[in-house]
Amino acid sequence: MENPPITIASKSKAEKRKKSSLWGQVLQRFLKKKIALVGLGFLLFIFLFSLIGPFFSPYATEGVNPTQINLPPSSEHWLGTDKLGRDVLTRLMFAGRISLTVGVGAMVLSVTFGALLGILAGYYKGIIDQIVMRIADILMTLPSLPLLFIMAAVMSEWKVPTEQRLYIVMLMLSLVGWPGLARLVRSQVLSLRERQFIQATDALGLRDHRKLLNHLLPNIVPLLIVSGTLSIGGAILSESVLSYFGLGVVPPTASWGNMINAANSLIDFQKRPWLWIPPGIAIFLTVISINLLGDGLRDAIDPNMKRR
Amino acid sequence: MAKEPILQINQLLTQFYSDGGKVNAVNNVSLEIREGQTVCLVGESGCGKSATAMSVMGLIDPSSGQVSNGEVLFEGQDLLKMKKGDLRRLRGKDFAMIFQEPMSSLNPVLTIGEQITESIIEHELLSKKEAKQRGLELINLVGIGRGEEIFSSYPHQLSGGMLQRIMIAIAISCNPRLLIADEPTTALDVTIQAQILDLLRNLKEERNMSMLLITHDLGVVAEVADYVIVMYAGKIIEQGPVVELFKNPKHPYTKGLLAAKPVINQRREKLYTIPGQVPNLIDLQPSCYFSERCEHCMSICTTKQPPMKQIRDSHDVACWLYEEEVSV
Amino acid sequence: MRNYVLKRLLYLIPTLIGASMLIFFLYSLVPGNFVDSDPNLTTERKAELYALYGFDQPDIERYFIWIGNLLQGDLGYSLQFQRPVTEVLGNYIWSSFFVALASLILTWLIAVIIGVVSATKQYSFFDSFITIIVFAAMATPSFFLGLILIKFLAVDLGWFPAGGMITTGSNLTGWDYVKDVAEHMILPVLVLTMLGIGGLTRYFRTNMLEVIKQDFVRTARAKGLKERVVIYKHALRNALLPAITLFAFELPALFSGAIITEQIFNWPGIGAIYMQAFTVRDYPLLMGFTMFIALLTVISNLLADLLYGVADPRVRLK
Repeated sequence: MENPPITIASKSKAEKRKKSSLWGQVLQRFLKKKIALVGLGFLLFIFLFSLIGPFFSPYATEGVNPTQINLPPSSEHWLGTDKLGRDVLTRLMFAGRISLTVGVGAMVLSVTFGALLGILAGYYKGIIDQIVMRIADILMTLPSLPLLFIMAAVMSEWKVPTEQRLYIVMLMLSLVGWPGLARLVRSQVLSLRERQFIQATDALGLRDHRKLLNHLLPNIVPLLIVSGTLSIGGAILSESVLSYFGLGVVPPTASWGNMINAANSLIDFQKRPWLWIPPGIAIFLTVISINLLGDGLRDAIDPNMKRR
Repeated sequence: MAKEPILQINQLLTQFYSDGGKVNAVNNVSLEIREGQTVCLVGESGCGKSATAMSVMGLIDPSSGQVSNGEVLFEGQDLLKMKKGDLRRLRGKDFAMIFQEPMSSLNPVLTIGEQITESIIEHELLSKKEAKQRGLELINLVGIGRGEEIFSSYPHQLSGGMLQRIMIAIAISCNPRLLIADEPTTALDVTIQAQILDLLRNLKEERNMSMLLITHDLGVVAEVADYVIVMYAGKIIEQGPVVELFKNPKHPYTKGLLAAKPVINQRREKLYTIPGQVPNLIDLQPSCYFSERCEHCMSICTTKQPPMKQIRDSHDVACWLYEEEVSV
Repeated sequence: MRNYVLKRLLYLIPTLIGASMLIFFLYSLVPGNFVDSDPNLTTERKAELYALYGFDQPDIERYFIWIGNLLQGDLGYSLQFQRPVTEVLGNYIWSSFFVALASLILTWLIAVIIGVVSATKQYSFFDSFITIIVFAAMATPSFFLGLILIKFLAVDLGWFPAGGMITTGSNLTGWDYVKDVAEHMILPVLVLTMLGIGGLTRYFRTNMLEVIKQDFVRTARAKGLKERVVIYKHALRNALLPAITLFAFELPALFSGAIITEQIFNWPGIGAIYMQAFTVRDYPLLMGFTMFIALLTVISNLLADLLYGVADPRVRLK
């Protein structure tokens, strides 16, 4: 029997397609999303700007300089100076560190809580499910903003040192953030439970923690990555609201939100927009980049959504 | 034989977009349906049967594919060259279609009556009242009683078989001359299947419609077809009158299909299956697309596409076996 | 149907109790109380209030006193206004409600139209443009947007009033009054609309894209219906159905969104009152407002479910 080379060629091509791993395919699809890549690029830029930026700045963080107060943007101070003579651009970088830290920290906490409780609720069902979901219901009944405000007020009353407020804010944000995530994870777990491969682990007699860690968790990781990414944006926005109203991170620690607070002074608001517009734009760019990235990741990870 | 073709498809090429480029779902397909004739389009799922029907209807979703070439002549007019609005006015009126899944093919939030009458009102200048009258007659005609009750109920209240009858009622509501049925019985219970087929056959006779029936079920084909077209990987590989084709199949694939069909009096130890799988349409090289699975595969089969060859009166086959037979 | 409503109502009770406990105990974490911190109160009045709100009792009992009063419609006594909280809320809620309602209608109208159009023209220029706008709207902090609008449109260009509900010192009546209030409403409504429109537009677009792929839409096309009928009669109805639930979610969210916009635009509604209450630590008012929002959320959810039941034949007839 002759075996013409064409058949071999076409076969090996097909094999190659099969071989590329699941995550490899995700990466390939992701790389096709130009707009998500733009988001990723911007985000990297903002991270570098905040983390490494200050090292290139000739001005110190709290570089108070009474001779150079309230200067408009110039070649020396690209974004001008504030009422204490601090360089706004440098302050923007340091504020970025805080805002990004809060965003990422809150995300890590709420993903951890949300995933853990969601898996437990979905896997064990019954009483655990009832308790977890009831608490989630209650937290979701209260709109997040008033809830955050109350917690922030309590924090202020307890006179939490300013440098620690940042961590409390993270915790607060994760407290309002986890219920939504837990719900998502729970419903995913519930539907996975019914699938054959998880039922097969029952038949194999695997221990609970092995089933949960080795079989269930990997299947919800994509969901966690997408929701986690998107939740960073939400956390940064919430932090900025709290800090703008003086209830989140408070000066002297700078955050983008509390920098906009300058707009509360009538003269700064009208005559010195360089004090409060740049942090607002920084928030906008960061959040939009995160959302574009998260959206691209969602499309890349979930092939059913590919054509949307 | 003097009857004019009601539908004539010439060299139809329909392509779908995929990550790996364009895929020829319907590859150079030509066929014709005469007045009063029932033509069956047979093949495995994914062979381009439905894509052919959707191309005729002009319903290929523009975000997923397009008709790239060919002619679709309906009573002499090329549907592909028609303005969208003109095509729309013919669709549902002169030619209509019923689908595989009756459960999901009707709008869940509109009543059955609304869905029957709206196409009547759209195509024929009837008042709401007259349309309702026609609708009730149609419900009766497709063999469901309790017309008034059905008229005001919602799809989820009816069974799959009843819904398919409703779909048929909608399709024939404006007296089409061609009915395209895409796997109309596949989603239904076996007992219901026979009823639906009977209904379709009777309606076709009574109303002198032509029918293009798409199916993978050879039992259905034997039951209703006048003429059979076998498709494989987007191409027609064999076509002929139903008796001739069943008696005297030429293409190894057609033979395989017929052999794979269990026959009650001839139980065998093992059911026959065609080895291998349908090729991935993206990877296709110029060759006979069935060659990889064919037990008679020759070297020419893997390098060159076989042309369509007339074997007997209106029995054609595309296979190198017969090409050589002739040339020898 | 009646049993279902009753069941749902009963189901609400534990959630509301949980929410009230959460609110109460969060506030009870605050050291001191509003009676002690008010220098204007006489000693007798203080003793009176102590007894009324049970500040001499342990937290648990105070909770039951609070709940007991709550059930009788008594949300406590506002320190700042020297009036019952219910009265204060009642006074200010309507101005918030009008802004919320205007923005709710605007948001839905725009979101439905844009969502549907960009879904039917997927990947067109319009679609991409809208996608970018939607992302931008979702990434802008609403207080910052408010500030920018005030700075440029109100202060620099003078197109709109910068804040408040009526022109200060004006004495307008009748139609002129309505016009004046409407002018002051424009910017707050705009910001509140921006707050909700991104998510909703995306929701509609995705929903429409989902529905358009359904078999029954193909059937509608196969019947030869006009594309307009296919989209607006067959597809949109199905895409709108699940959104009814969202509609109810929106209302409480708008009231809490009002906290920001009213503060920025100095609009005299419950949001602004809420923020003022924070500065003076007027806890009865804060607790009352939060409980009010919780109640509103719960009732809206119930309403949403019932509305959905009425709108969707598949649920209705069960």
